[in-house]
Amino acid sequence: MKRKVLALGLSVLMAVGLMAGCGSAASSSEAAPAESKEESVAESVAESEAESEAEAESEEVDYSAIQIGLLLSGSANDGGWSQLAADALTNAAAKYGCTTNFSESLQPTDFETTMRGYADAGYQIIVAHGAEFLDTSKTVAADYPDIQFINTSSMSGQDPNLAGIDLGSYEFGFLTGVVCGLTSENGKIGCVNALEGDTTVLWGEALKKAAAMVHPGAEVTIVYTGSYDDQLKAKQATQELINQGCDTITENCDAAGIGAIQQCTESGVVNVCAVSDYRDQGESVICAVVQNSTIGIEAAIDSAIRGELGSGAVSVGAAEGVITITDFGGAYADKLTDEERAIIADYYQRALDKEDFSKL
Amino acid sequence: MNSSIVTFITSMIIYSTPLLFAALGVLLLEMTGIVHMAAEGMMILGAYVAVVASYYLNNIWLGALCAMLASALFGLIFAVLVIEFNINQTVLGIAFNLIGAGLTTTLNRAFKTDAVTVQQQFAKDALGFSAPIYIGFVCIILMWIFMYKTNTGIRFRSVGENPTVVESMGISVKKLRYEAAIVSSMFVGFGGAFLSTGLLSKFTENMSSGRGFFALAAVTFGKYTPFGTFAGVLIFGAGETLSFRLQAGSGSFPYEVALMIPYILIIVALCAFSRNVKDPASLGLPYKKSA
Repeated sequence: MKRKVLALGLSVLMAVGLMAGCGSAASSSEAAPAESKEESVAESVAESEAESEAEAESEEVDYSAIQIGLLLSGSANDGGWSQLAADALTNAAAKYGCTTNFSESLQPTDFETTMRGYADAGYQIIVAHGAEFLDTSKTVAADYPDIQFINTSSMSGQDPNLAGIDLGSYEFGFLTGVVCGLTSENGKIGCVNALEGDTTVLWGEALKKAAAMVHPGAEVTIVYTGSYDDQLKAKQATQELINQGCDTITENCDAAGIGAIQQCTESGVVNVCAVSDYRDQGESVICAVVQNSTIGIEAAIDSAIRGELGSGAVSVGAAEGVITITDFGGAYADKLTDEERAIIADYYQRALDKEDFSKL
Repeated sequence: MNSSIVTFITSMIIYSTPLLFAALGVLLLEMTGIVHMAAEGMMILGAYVAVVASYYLNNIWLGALCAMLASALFGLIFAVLVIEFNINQTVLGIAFNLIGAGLTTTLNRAFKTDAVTVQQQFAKDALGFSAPIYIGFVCIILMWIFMYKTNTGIRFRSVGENPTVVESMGISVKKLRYEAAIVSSMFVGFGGAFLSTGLLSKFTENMSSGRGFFALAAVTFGKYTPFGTFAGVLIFGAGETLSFRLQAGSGSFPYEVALMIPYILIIVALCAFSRNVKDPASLGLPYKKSA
């Protein structure tokens, strides 16, 4: 008897612990599916919220039966990449009254079982956040043709039901490269990444290209840590880059990037924060080039709920508000002259004007 | 000595120190015949408590002490379940790892402690070594002396080999195992504290990233000896440092291969040096005092 009570107690404890790994939200509202029409996600972003709400109220369709699942490889509390996606889900629940749920800190070995779990549970829309999920999304989507799959940071989709959302990877990398290239004095720029994927490769290519354009001869060295959680690895990788002479560091590895910022602060090296706005994590951060995935995911969910998303890939960027550059600050703000800041502002304006940087 | 080699060695030692403390803790408990599969959970708990306590007490050493006490409490509960209820040690260890990760995640979100940054740092010398690193070196030697030169150490090892014989000599197996569980958990907790407040300055969820499991591998590689365990820790640390140095140095080294280096090294080392390793004879076996 004593052992049974004990086992029960342990089970409850474990359940409480595991509850931190998922979240949900549900409410109800009324809206209606619009007539099927060819409308891109980028165009969806441009629609005003007031218009959407008016449309939802005027047409009486209950979306509360819709279930949306989200898969994250990082923590939904990371203050950046993953949290922004979770925010999009929360917003969708509030807007449509649908049921939402997410799974976080997933390991690659759990990607497929988790995704199939959502599909088997009857979720109609499944969002996988990050290029690392793409292979799994393609495999699982093929087995569930009636479910709409969305994979962010993806340059491609798959007929008939997998849409890839590129959150302006090239533009994002290019703008990061412009800031890094202008900030660096010796032209040695280090970059700490977590994992390689379609979009991170594209981001890195754009970063290298832009840095070399604004700082002739500049070289970018990319180091992968293999983890979005492990701050210590990011810190150690940063130290190795600094040992190799890099005087400017940027990182694209979610919450682990805080370790890179700390090493920069300890070593007196400039940090250009990418993806998340971690300016409060160390005085070494001169600015952040932010990739706000909330906007892109919300737009994709809007299209999916209206039944308009389908397959293929769509790209959103600075013009849709996904990519922004914060103010300059920190201990090294004076490293950028007014002229250099004007160059950065000029490139950002060109991004807002939808200039294709890959053709430069 | 070439500065490149110096930075390699110092980096390897600095970043391996959390693992060293965890491995010494695992060694101490496994020596008495209990599988310490819960090290990962205790480490993340220590990392969390250290950040919160250091912040509120404004003292990084007191923060580390609190982390050790919290882990000791965790270890005591683990020991009660293993010793009094004979629950499968491996399964229980995994459960404790889940509880450790879940509990710290829940607390972190409930109290928004991820916003907490510990400003105070351990003082460093010219090599970048802080006091806990030297404490780690001293602990290796003390552990060796304890294991091989003291009566209590010999009793600890004897319990791991044959608890029945130890009991027949009038020595309480339970008491020894409780002592080992508490002290070993304090070592692991200090490893977590050094990770979050000694090398970093804040807590992030899942930040122990499997180091508790590598501690197990290091102990096995080290054939359950303090210096052997230290060698295992250094091999893993060297692998990690090498993986980043190869990427940072050449810029074209395949990262997939680089990231595999620590794991390949530890597997090769286990195969090469630990094929005939002899676990403590009663490791993982439930013990019931004979009537």
